Amino acid sequence: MSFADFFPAAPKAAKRAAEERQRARGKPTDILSATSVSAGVIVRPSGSEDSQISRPGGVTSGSIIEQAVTGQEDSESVPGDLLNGVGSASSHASTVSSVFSANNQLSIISNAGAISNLHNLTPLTNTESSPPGKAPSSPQFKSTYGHTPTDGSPGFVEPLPDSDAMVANAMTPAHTPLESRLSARPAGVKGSIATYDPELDPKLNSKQKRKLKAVYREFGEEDDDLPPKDPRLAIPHYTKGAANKPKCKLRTAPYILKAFPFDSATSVGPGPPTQVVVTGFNPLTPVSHINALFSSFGEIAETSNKTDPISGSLLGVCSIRYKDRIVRGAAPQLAIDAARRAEKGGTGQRIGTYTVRVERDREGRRCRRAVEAVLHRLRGEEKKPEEKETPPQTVPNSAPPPTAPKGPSVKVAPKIPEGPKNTSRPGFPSLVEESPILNQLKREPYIFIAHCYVPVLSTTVSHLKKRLKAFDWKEVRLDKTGYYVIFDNSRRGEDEALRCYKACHMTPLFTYIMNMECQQYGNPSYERSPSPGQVEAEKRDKAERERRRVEYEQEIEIQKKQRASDLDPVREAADIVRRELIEKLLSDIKSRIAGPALFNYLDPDRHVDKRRRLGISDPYDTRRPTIHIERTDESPLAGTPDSRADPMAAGQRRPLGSSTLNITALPRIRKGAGTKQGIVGFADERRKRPVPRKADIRPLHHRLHQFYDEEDSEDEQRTPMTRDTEEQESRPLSRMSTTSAESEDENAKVPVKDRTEEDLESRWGGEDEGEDGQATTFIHSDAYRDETVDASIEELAREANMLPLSSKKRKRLLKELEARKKQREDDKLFGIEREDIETFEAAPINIEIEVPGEEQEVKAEAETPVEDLGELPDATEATAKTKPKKKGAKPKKKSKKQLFEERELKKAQERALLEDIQEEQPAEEIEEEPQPEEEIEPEAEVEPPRAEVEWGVSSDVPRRTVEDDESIILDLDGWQHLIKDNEDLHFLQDVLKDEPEADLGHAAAWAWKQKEIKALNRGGERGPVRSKTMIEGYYVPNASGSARTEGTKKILESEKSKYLPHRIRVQKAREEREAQAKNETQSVVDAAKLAAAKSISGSSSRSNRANNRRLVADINAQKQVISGDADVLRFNQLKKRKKPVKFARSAIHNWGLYAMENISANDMIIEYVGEKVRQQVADMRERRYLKSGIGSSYLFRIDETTVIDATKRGGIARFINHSCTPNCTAKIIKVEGSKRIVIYALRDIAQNEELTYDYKFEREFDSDDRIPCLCGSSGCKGFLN
Amino acid sequence: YKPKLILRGHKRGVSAVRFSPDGNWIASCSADSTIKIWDARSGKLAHTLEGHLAGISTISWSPDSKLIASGSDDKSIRLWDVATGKAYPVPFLGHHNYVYSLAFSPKGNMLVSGSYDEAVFLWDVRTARVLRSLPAHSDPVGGVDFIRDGTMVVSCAGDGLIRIWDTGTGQCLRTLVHEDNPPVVSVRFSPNGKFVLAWTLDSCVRLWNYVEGRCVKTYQGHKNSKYSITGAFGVYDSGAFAVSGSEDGDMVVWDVTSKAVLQRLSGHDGVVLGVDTHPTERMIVSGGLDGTVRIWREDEA
Repeated sequence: MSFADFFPAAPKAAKRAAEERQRARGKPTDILSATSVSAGVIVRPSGSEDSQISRPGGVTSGSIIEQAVTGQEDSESVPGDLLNGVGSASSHASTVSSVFSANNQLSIISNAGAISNLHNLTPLTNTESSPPGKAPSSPQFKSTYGHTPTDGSPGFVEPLPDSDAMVANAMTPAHTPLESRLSARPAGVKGSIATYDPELDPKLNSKQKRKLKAVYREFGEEDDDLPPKDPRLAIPHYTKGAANKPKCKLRTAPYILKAFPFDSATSVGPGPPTQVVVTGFNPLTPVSHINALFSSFGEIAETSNKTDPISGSLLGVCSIRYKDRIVRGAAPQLAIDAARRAEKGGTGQRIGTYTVRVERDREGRRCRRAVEAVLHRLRGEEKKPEEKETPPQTVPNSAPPPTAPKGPSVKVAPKIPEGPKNTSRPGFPSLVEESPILNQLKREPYIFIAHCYVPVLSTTVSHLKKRLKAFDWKEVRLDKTGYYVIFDNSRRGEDEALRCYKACHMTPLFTYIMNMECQQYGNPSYERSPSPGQVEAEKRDKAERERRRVEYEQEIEIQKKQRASDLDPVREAADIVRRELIEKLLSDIKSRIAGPALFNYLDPDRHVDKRRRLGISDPYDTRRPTIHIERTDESPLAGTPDSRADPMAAGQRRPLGSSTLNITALPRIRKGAGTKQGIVGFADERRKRPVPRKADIRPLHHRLHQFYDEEDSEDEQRTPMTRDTEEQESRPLSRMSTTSAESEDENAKVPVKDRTEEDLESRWGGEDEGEDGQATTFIHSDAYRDETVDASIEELAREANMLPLSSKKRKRLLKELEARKKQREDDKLFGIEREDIETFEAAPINIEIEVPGEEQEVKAEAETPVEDLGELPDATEATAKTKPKKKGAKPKKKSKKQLFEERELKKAQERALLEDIQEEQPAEEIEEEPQPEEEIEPEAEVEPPRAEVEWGVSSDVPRRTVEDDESIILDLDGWQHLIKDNEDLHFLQDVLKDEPEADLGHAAAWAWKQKEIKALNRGGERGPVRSKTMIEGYYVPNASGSARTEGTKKILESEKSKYLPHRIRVQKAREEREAQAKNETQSVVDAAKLAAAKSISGSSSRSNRANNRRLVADINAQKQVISGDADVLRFNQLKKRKKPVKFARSAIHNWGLYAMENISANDMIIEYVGEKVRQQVADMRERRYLKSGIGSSYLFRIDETTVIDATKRGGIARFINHSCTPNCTAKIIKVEGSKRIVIYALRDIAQNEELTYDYKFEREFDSDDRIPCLCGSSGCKGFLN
Repeated sequence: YKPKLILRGHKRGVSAVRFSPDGNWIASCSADSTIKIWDARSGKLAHTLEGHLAGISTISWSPDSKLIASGSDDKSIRLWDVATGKAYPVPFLGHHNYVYSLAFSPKGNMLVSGSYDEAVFLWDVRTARVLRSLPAHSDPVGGVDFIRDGTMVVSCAGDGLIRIWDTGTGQCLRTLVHEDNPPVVSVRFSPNGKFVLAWTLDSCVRLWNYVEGRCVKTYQGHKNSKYSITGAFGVYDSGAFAVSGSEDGDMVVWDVTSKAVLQRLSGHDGVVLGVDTHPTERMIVSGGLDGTVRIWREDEA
């Protein structure tokens, strides 16, 4: 220590410093660069003891110099180690140690604090602070200890009571290359440090100094990772603080701070544990005992004795939470301490006979773990039996895997030379067996000590053995779950185990308690192997089952093969498709036509007389009427009686025309089949079977009459096949018929056939009689015929077995039959037709249309073979088809007529004469457009059906029938949808014959355009539609066509309510409310009135008045102060209390005022501001306003002579609308002598609620110009006046 | 101006006629729910646009003359491609009553529509969605127009108010009201964007300086008490003129500044509802309740 050290400002020291500086400037290279210095300071990661070191002292409070002991004699050159405690918050967390130069010649100021390089001089600050003239002048030499720029924090100046030598050391020449330092940083070499600097060697004279060179050492390479040793530690007694005791106020020894006590108010994170978990006691120990023990450590907040979450049994784990006990006059006993005490004192305590273990448990984790462990043990024991089934894994060092049934000791490691009684070598790795021992135990009695009581250690085994040497155990084994003390599998062994258990259970083994579990009869979960007899029997059973199964499979396989062999795949595929189609069709027919029709028809009342008349006693007939139609699964709804109305909509048409099949319809069928493809594949399996045994197939009505079977099906005994087929609810109709027909053919069941025909004939007879042009009758008879045919077919079917798919003979017969039937039908219908055509009534037209269709059908059947093929479906289907056709016809016709009328109207002025019918598709209708489309479509689609025909499926391809949808709107698409062929067209032509033709220009173009328009207005929807294309919502067509051509007219408020959205909304709400409150309207009104009255009476609430008074006082005081305009103040007074309101469109009237915040009752809302005019003026103005069309009245009368007119000038209060049940009221109050209108809230008003008050117009009950009230409130009186 | 062509074809009254901005076409819309596009010079019918379900009250050309927007009584607004004559598939739906007036923004990206439901909607043309609903009036909106630069919209209604709106914010910038507040049936910005011409049902056409909010000129001489007649500005030799239809079948042409009636064009039977002037040439087109569209030209000689 030198004088200069402490008195740098003293002349001597100053001089020396100046010299030093000069020297330093003279030989800049000699001076240790800032780089080295800065790099030499290494931030050491804070160690634990470092963190305890507090470095007090601030920059301004003066630095504390730590004297470094140097090896040099020259104390002057010995720089002090300056520890500038920068009072940063993190100072305790990180310490910066300075690095001393090796020769101690240079000592670098080590600066504490998070900022590492406080002591390093940056070149710039150095030059700044180094002017020679300045330094001496300051009482304390000021040296700038700046940060290197890379540190990013501003350098700062601090007083440095250090020697000049020191300063010289620390200071670096201004031109120290900055970049070198920067580049040195990231490199391996962090810098160089001067180990010897001649400049600093006081022993040398200047010459020598010049000669000698500084010795540098690079550092940073060798010990990159290791923090450099704290050089201070080299100082003797440094850590004891004795190194520089006399001078240093700094305590050098690491100061170990006491951990802050947890304070729930300030500390972060969970505090120290206040909970302990107690284990090891008998689970059955009452909680009170535990409490008694542990309450001695502190006040218990909560004791929870853990239970098994499943069984609810106690587990012997208890968690105890302590709480702080406030002791008056003394320090509170903290829960923490209590817990600590409990841990310390509780462990080893005994509850009953058990020694407990107590652990502190901060968050209950330990407790949870303990519980889990116990549970695991319990469960594990339960689980083990199951595990037994699986072969245990082989233990690495064990002998053969324990597959042998009774080898209790196989697990004993062969390496263990000692007998079982000998202690095995401790630590022998094999002692802890890896596979659960329990699984290997069978009948042997054993005692189990779970690992949670005695830790699993192989060393323990020997001790255990020793401990139990009084008992005659066979071996002691050990696995992860615990110890198994296994006894002889004998009576004696059992006894021994029991004895051992009794003696040792819960006795200590070292510090542990042997909590034993005795299983004297061996593994409780071990199952004895079943007796051989049982096994035998079981085996037999199984074999039997297996055999049966195999046989069954084989059978199926064979069947399959057989089928496969005589099946053409194409045909089969076609078959599938066909079946699907048929199924679809059938379900349609069933649900829409047949079911209802049958139901209708079978109504017993209808036919009794007929039957009687005809003398026919059809066995089925008598039964059927009593039967309800049962629906198939597929169309559960359609069969309900309601659906009787439906069939009208469902028409079936047979497409005719020489060249075209029914084309439009076909794609739909295919589509249907296509969508069901997946099902087809599946269904196929089932279906294949019945194919060879078609006899099982039941006709249609079986599906309709579910319980029509017992008698009928006597002979078709219920083979599995039958069941099978019956499950297929919707058996394709046509197929049935074909097969049955075929069967008929095959077996030449003449009688049956005769009967069928007979039936038919008789039906026909009946029909003829009851005909009278009544379509319904006809339909019924049709249905009936259908029935009878079905019946006959069914009979045939019963007898038939294997049938070839087609037979010509049958076909012919069938055709004949068909033709005959048709002929009759037609004959009859023709008769009707004649009349109908003449009368030209809608109803007859149905039939008219129908007839030619049938005609053509017959024709087609007779003539075209292709058609024939398609026609093949037998009578059943044919009739089924004709029926719907008829039904469909009616609506169609009607709608045609309607449309046609419409069109007529529309185009009345442009009608021309109808052209003759020349072409195939004449332009006769008002819609000529169908022509082009129709022509195109058929051609396009003819192909696919033909292909189908060639497929070989033709024999029973169902003729597509058309569903005429009544609901289809008969626009172009609708028509096109309806008119399928020339024939249809022809009829349409006929119907429209005498309509004048419209001039449409190019028909096709016109049609296209119409369609485009339609599509446009329907969002791209095309094709037939079921709703009219129209303007949605409110629409009143203008007489002149458009709004503009109509001219303006006054729109009534009521009209506006129909389309203005906000009004509609309110209207709706009102209607709803009205409907709701209809019965209680009166009471509501009363209530509203009551409420209103009440709130008015209490409107000047105390607080309100108080507020008012205060306000007035305020204002008066203000007035006195400023003595300004009274009006302003008055205005202010009212304005101040104004509530935020806004105006917006109102449902009541054009505009309304809405609250922008919740307003409580009786609050002032707004003043009604306007021009104050005299009565006369007001009257005049009112007239003027009326004249100019300002309907709204914004005149508010204050008293007899004064009116406030807010029409042209006024506040927004004028927008407040009238309501019969208002939420506001207007009051005339006197403010400072002038009357003002102020709106008060009558009740609490919610935000965005419209403000209303009662205008209180005079009632003018007889007046014409009553103003309707649109307030929409429940108590609305209807008029304002 | 002399009558030049009479275009017949509409089956019912013509509610609006408009020259296309490029001057090549005339579009007329009619109560027969069609729009017809005519060649402005030859008068040939180029297209008939059909697709509305009810009569059409208003049309507007897009600034590029490729699109026509039409507002119909069926409450929809449709865009039509003039070249193909087909409508865009998505109509602008949202009005609750007849669409009564329409205007394209000068950029063509917006459409303003006024409707009988008292609302003024700003539409985004591309998405066919309402950008903004201007709660404007308490009576059917008579007319709407965009100012030349598209920043403002004017609307007028039967309640006698003319309101100027900021397109961007939807703020009502100005409300013009005559003290008698007769129903305003139509409104147009002057080409220079400084004035608003408003037709009112007191047989007056008023020129408003909307900045100052006062009526500058009142043109009279025509008859207008029921229908919502529109007109247009045009130029002639010595200045600007305003032309309007009249309910007596005439058209009246005023000098904008002097208010003098320059010409009275007769020809229509019945109310002349729509008048428009050619953007570049001396041409006027008019459409009336008689279902005809007439083209008038100034005699060069």
